Amino acid sequence: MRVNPYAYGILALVIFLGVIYGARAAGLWHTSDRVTASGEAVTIDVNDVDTVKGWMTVNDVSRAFNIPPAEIYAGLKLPADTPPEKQLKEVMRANKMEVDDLREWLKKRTRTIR
Amino acid sequence: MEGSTEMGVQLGAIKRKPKGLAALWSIQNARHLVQAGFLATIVMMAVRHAIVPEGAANAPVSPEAYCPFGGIEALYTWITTGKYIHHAHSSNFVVLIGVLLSALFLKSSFCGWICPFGTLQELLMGVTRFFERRFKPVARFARALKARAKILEPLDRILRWGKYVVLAYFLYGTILVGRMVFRPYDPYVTALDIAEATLGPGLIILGAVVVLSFFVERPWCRYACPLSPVIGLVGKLAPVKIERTASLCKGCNICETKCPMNLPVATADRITAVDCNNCLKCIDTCPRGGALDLVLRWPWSRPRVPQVPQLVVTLPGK
Repeated sequence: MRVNPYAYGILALVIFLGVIYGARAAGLWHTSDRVTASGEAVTIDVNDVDTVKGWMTVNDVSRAFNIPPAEIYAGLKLPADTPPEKQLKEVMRANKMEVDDLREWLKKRTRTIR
Repeated sequence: MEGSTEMGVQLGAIKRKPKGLAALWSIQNARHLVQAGFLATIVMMAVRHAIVPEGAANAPVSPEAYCPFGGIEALYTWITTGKYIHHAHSSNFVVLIGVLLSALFLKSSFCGWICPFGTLQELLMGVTRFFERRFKPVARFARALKARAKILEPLDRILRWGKYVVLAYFLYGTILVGRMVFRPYDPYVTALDIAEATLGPGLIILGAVVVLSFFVERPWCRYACPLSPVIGLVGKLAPVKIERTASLCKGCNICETKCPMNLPVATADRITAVDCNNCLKCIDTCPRGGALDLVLRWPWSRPRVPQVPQLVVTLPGK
């Protein structure tokens, strides 16, 4: 059976957008790493460095892990005058690093202390 | 509808060129309209994401949340640990399901009709075509370049395997390291975050794709897009495919010259190639009604030979 090319285009849209809007209606659509799928605010769990997110600040990490910002800067070889209220992703990007480097450092440091 | 195509053209007859408003409502214009809608939505999201400070009450969603490849990268970690890797959300899985479902039924409709990065590459090639039409020296230069490019065909065929290498590296890295290893190299992610981009592999690859797009149709899709083989392979099962009816085809090769992926449309019975992005340019430009069509049939069945009205000539004395 031949398929009309216009009908093909419409069907492509219906399938693609149908899945997206269907997931939204079913509550399966989640795009934020600031709140969980159940709507709770994401906070740092010191037992799981993966809960450290790029939008958090150096101060957030410092408070959660009880590590002074100066020690974080020294450990990652970051400039000592970095403002601790800056977002991690900005700090890391400015120094050609990834937030994952901080996570790795935190993992090693907490392992050493334990 | 025996004897005529879905577009109302007699099988084997020369298609009439539409005029006036009908000419505006071509398949390609409809496709460009859909593409423009998706590209504009993503550009708007990227601009809002760059302008509105993060943490603000009306902070917009990152356009990365709509990337289907994020879903592929996050899949292994999600299955094994139940967690999302960084930069991935459930939305990435949802968009991936949408892409795979459309591939399962309609082959590469996502690539040809929706993907904003593919649209961007088509737009850049459109600039070249515009200059070719307007300025004769540019047209001459383009013709000379195309004639010489024939010697690059073997290289083109080898480079097309690049996307499988990229996909393998991607999956291996994601499974091994548990994070998006390709993200720093991804030109699409770099383009979405262009306001904050720093000089690195992502920006260099994006620059290369932009420059190449003026000379080669969809270079990223053709050589490096890791999503393209996934869609293409799933699309092999799709019941809707482009088919050529050999008895109606006159072998003019227009379809092949218009195919952005340089596929051998004029000699194939059914287009199953992974590289085909279902832009339907071949069907649109084919001058014979019914010689090239979108056909719905089981993927494993053989193409059917249609009944064409035959002209019976009776010779005197016979």
